Amino acid sequence: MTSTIDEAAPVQRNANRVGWLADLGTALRSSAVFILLAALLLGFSAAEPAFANLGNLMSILQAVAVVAILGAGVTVTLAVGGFDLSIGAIAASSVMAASYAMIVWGLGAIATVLLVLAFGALIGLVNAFLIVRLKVPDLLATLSMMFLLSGLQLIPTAGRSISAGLILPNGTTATGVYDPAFLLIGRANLAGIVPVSVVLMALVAIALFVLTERTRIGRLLFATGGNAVATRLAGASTARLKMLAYVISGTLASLGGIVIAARVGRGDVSSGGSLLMDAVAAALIGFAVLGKRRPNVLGTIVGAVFVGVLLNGLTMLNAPYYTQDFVKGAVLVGALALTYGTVRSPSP
Amino acid sequence: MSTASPDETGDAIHLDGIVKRFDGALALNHASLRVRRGTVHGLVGQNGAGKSTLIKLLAGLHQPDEGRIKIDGEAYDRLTPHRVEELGIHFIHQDRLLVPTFTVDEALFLGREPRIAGTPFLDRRLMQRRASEILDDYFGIKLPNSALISELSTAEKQIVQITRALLDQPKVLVFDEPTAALVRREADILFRLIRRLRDEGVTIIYISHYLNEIEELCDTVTVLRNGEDVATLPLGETSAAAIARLMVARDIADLYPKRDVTPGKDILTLERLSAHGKYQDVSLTLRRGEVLGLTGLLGSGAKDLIRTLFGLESASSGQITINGKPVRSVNPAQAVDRHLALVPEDRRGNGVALDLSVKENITLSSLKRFTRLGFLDFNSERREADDLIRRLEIKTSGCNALVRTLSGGNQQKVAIAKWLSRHSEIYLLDEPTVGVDIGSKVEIYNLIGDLAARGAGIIVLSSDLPELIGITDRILVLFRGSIISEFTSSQTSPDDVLAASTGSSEVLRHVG
Repeated sequence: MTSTIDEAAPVQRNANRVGWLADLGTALRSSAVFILLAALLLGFSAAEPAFANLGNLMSILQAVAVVAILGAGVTVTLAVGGFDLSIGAIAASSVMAASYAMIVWGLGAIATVLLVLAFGALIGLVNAFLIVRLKVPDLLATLSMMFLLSGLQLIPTAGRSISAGLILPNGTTATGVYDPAFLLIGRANLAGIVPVSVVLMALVAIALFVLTERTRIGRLLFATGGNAVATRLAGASTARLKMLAYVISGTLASLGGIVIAARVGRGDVSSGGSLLMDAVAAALIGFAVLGKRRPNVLGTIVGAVFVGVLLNGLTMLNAPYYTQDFVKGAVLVGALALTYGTVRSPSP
Repeated sequence: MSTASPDETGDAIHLDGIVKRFDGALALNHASLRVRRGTVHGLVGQNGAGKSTLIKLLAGLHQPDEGRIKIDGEAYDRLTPHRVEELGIHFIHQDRLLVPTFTVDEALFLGREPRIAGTPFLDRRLMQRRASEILDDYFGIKLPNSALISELSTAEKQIVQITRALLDQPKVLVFDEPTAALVRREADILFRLIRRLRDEGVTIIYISHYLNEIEELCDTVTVLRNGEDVATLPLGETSAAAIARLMVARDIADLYPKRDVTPGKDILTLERLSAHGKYQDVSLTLRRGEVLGLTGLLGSGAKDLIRTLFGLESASSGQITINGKPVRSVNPAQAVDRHLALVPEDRRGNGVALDLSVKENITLSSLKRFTRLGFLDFNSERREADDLIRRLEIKTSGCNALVRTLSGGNQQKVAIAKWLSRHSEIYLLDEPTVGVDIGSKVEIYNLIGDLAARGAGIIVLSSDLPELIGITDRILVLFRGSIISEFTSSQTSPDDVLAASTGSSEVLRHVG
């Protein structure tokens, strides 16, 4: 009888021979989104030269900035194995809150921004309290929060949109206006080229990327999502980690709301309709980026940009606006198929 | 039960020279399995030896890269699960899911519901009659037809699976680890059933980790190792010990390597520790270099005691002293800080995070050491992981492989490596080798010995008594929440320990 070690040797050699093909496949899968993105950029530039000018590229980024910021928050809650359905509603209420703060209370830009961010963080904290302390399942907790906020944002103004000269429910007229400094967040360009919102998106992306991929806390966030019990047994406080994730998610959603408010310059009751779906889609498309198969900030940003490029390019080629949701859905289906459909069959 | 057309070979199943690769990794390397008609044929091998791959090929779930599959003397090229079932081959498997919300009848006839002639309507009466005939004939039991699958016990679910197969008058039945979740009495019923089916002409393939079952039940056994069939033997000419040797290619006498370590200072002391309704007045001392066994039946309080030590439950009174310092309340984070380590029984559920990498699991509790100003130091983290992978001989394609892809034994090594990386000193090991193949078991025993030799204190909770005796210095037996006996491991036998844990030695003492 030969020894175990002797038998293992030929097995290893066989594995190597087929190995490089598998490696190539893996490499292709993990860069598929980038390859497609490059193909889109080239294709659209060829078909419509105006597509490739700097202004248009910036407008693409500006268009996806809010979705990318919210998506980064979704990524963090997905990382801890949770889900935050309330982000769209948080962003929408933040638009109303910012408008109310400036127009009714007459606050300045800085006070308004801080107040709205605190509002987002507070909602995140309430979500976390429901989920971590009261053990309400995350989907249900954040779904109820979504309902609650959609209603809450209508109450102070009795359902009216907020703009200068708003007549309050008690009959008086609001005297405040949007602080011009606040509007810069949505409208100004740094060095005349890069929109402030794009800078914000980049900062959020970098901060969250570093947090999730390079720090101990980030690792523990993923560990919590991977196996909360094992992580707790390893000595980490999974309750605090989950709380952190929902607070980040809520805060980023309110930042998204600030950008929207600064862009439109008024508080529309109907703003933020498709934000939740778009942000979740970006995060899910992100699973396929670099073949990570798990939530990751870089992937989310790429996912958001990918959809933005596609929509912008198709619009330039005169695709009607009503095809947009279909295109987003198709991209998402494709990305998920790429993520899950190509999982290698586990060896026995 | 069925009369197969006789052919020259008399083989019901003949898998010949099967080669199967997964992503380049060789799972089966010219493996053969030849099962004679009307026999019970055992199939054994360590995890990863290729058993399940071989069975999946037979089930038509995978196709072989090389080799032939012959059924009743006829070669088949591309088997599908459906075709296999048509050929009368059925599989009884733990994980074969029955739809939990179906009734017994619905589950039994799923996919081949009899209809009232000439109509599309289900013939419920016929379904009920045929089901109760078989249940009564083979098992002598009645299952309420309207019971939901989710309401049945594991044994009853298995009966439903077997009945489902019997309704088709099978020629071959494949049992995959059928007794893993059964108690002895239920297993005996199963064995009687298998013998009866064999006598009725059904061919049985029986896969099990439990070699005593193979010895008891099978006519022939095939041993797989590293994807090859290393032997096919009639049971009359072999023994469980010989089979085990073939499986691991190693002498089983070395199964319980025990180091001689002179115990050092006290590292953990419990004084009159009590928790209402769980355990009372438990006092024990664990010393450095000592391996202390803890055992007891379900509800004896042994598990609660371990959980209390790690801060997952709280004691109502008593004193815990760790390294000479009295300890008040603990939570898991504080327990980890005090160099305690818990390797829980439910490895996949609580011990490791399956979808994180080996590296991420190994450094999970010691991340602070690989963090500078909050930022991870990937290089030193990777070095640590590689180092532990080497030291513990964790078989993995690399430190970035997902733990999910590892075998049970190697997952367990990862669960332990996590605490080695944390420099833990008191190890609480809850059923450390459950579901682990023999080869990995020995490696885990060796690891426990190493830890003791380095001055760690180890508490092993195990219901595998030969194992407990083999690897510990002392054994404490809990019965109804109290320590009822203490044994010196080198001077006791499984029977004594078992008697103590069932409380029978106490009865004897009272009587005598």
